Amino acid sequence: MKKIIYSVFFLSVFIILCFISLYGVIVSPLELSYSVGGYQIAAFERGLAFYQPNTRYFYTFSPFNDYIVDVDGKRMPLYSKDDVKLGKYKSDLDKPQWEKIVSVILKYFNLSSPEISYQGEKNVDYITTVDGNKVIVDRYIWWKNNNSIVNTGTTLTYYPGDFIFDAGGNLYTYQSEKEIESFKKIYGVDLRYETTDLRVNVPTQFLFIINPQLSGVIKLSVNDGQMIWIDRNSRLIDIEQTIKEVEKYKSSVTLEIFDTPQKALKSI
Amino acid sequence: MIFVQSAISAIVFFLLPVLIGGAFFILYSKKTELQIPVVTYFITGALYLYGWALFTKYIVLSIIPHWQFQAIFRLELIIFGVSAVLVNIGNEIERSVDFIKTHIKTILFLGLLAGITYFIWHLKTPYPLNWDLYEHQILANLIQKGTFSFVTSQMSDAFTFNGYSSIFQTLIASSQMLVPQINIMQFWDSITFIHLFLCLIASYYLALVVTDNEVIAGFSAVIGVLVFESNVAYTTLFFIPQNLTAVLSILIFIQIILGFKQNRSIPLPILILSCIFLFLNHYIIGTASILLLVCVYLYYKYNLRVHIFRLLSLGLFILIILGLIASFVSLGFVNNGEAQFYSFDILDKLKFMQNAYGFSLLMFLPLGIIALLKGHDIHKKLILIISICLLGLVLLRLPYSLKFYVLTRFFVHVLMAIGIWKILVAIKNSLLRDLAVIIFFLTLIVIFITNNAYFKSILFYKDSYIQVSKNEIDASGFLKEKYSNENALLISDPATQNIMEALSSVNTPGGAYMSPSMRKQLSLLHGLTNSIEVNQVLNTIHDNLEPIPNKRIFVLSGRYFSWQDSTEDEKQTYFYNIWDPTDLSFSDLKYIDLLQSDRNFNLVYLNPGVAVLEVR
Repeated sequence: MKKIIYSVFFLSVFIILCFISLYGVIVSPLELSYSVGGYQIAAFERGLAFYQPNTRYFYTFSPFNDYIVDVDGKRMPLYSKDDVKLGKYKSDLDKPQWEKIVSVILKYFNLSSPEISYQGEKNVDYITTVDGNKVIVDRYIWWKNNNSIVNTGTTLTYYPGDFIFDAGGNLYTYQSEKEIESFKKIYGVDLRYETTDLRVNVPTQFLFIINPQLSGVIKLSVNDGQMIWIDRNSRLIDIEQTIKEVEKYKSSVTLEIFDTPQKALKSI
Repeated sequence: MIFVQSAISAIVFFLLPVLIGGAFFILYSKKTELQIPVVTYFITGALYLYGWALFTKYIVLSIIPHWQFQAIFRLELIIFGVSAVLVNIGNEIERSVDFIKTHIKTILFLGLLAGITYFIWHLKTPYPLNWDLYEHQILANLIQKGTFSFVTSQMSDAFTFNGYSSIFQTLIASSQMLVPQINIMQFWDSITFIHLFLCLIASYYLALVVTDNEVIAGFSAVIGVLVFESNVAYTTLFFIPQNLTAVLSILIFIQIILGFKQNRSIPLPILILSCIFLFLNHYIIGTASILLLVCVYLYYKYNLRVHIFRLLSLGLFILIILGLIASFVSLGFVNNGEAQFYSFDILDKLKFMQNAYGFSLLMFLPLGIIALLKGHDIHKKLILIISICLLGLVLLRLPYSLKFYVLTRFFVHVLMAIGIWKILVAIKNSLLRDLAVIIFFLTLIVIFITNNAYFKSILFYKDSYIQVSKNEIDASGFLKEKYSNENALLISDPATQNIMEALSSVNTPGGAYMSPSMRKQLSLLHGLTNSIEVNQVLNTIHDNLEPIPNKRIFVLSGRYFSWQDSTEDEKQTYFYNIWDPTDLSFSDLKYIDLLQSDRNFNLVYLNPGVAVLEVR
């Protein structure tokens, strides 16, 4: 018995030393970024961002841009400027060291996807499913005080020089004639720019985004019941849907990355 | 099939010198008793081959200058190889089979450890992540094409610092010349695995010879394989001269101790031969290894064991002097300022250690030191002194001092293993002790994975961790086929040049080590849209060793554009590179279109990551 107690004591000491050893590893935030085709997706303080390394372009899903619309048609962000100013929300980005270590291990073996949660008056979760060059972003809003809400909007940021167009070749962001010509010459895709409205409805379920400074094409797809708007004033792509459930609203958006516009268009 | 050929070529790197060295001993020195014959054979054979390469270049070709170096050297390799096989058959085969039979359990254990480690390392990592391999491959390519010199910087301007002779690259070239049609990336992958296995053997047998305890040796091996110094040293997973030098030094060190333990010391000529190889293979690590080996040899030979603490004091005194010198002298001039970048303070180094070890070094090293201070075993005391002195050297704020960890680690891991063993022996219940071993193994695996993830995180490209993309490899294949036999000059950013010169055998102006003046010229192209001016600037860029090319090839990769977008200071520094591949964007393609529509340029190749233009 004495031998066992003695052994258990030293085993415990040894295990503690092993745990301390493990606790010392350095986990950089970069380790938790996930590949989606030529882009990467990772959770940041302001939301889930879609980006290419070593560039300054971040396409972001954020609760500070996402919104709800009440019966009077009033649009409100999930977290307002005042909420931000007063710190009325908390994200789970900064995880305890043990959780970070587990996340890195799971990520190394492709057993996880990025996600981020915000707690406040409304709880908001962004959960992703990554599969090769495709990612499904599910956003959940948990809110009890919701009687007057009729619509929710998920948003994706974009940049001024981006080409945003649909499968029919309708261009939703301004580009000069010369740029449109170059686009046709290089990619063989004919685009036309007609709209002058600041907020434009996209009549299809698919949209393509090309940042001239980045490689690849982002294909954005929405489900039945969702509607895409290009808000050129706020540089946001809004994906709006009518709410069906009480207390929990789910919204899904799919992004796929292709090397060229031809491949992206062929995928429809 | 190409993978098999590449793997065989990697094996030939080690096997050919071993066979030649073995044949040499069979023919000329059969009575010499060697503790680890295969190490001495390798060193002898490697020196023999290199000696012939030098003889061919500096004697034969000076007498008959119209002969081609590569043709004569290939012939020599075939003759030596075939003769060595014939001599070894019947002499060494039986001995080798006996050796394998005796050590089969250890070999399987170490092989399994190496396999697990390499599997984890290799996940989502299709190509080696050893940035230096491209430089070595550039020289190996040149040797195969007939350009040979003792001095690396005389062969290619991709070498600005002569840190070693060309022996390592000659051996690489030899193995690639004997096995045709290999895949270069698979060759380096295979040779890295063999190197990892050799590191394991060195870790295991060093601990075994010092402690005579197989369990401690096992722990030393586990730590040795799962600790990857992901800054500067890269001992286990990068096959480069400094690491080969370190592994061989440890194996020679083991021979010295074994010799004195068995009362038949290592023959002095063999020690001298070994020291010559170590020096040629890496001047700095080689010199440190020679000092270490000579001290240890003298320590045993002249029975200096009574003065053990005086030796320690002397070692530490020298380190303090070195430290003082380093603090007063700016060493930033070494290697065009790159050395300055590799001069880290203690906190940086502790952070690097944390990456590789977590806190395990802090937990188990002191235990090992305390255990050895209490003991009286002279071999263990020797390990303690060496570890402390080498650790002191590593911690000094000298450029590249962290490189000395390639040697230090082997001794430190023995100490850690002893520390672990001291706790485990206190666990009397065998089941609980096994549980402790499993927990330790899992702990190190987790540390290894987090370290891997950290190291690789900046190399993430399309769900793989890579430094070179398939697009770049494909483009290199095209360049090799079209231009490798011409006097062509490939111009791009330093990283693209480094990769593509190695994979295509097309010359570049300095590879990754493009000279400051050439960098300045290349940087002038940033934002330049007039194709005539672009053409004029490109025509001023040249290789320092071969100034007039017949043709200039302008390679525009995603990296090139990222490099051009960097700041002027970044572009001028050697240690700044675009490490991960990038594909071409719409803006990049527009620029390529602009150039190709002009008669000064001819677009000859395009894929999503790389465009190749001939400059007219």
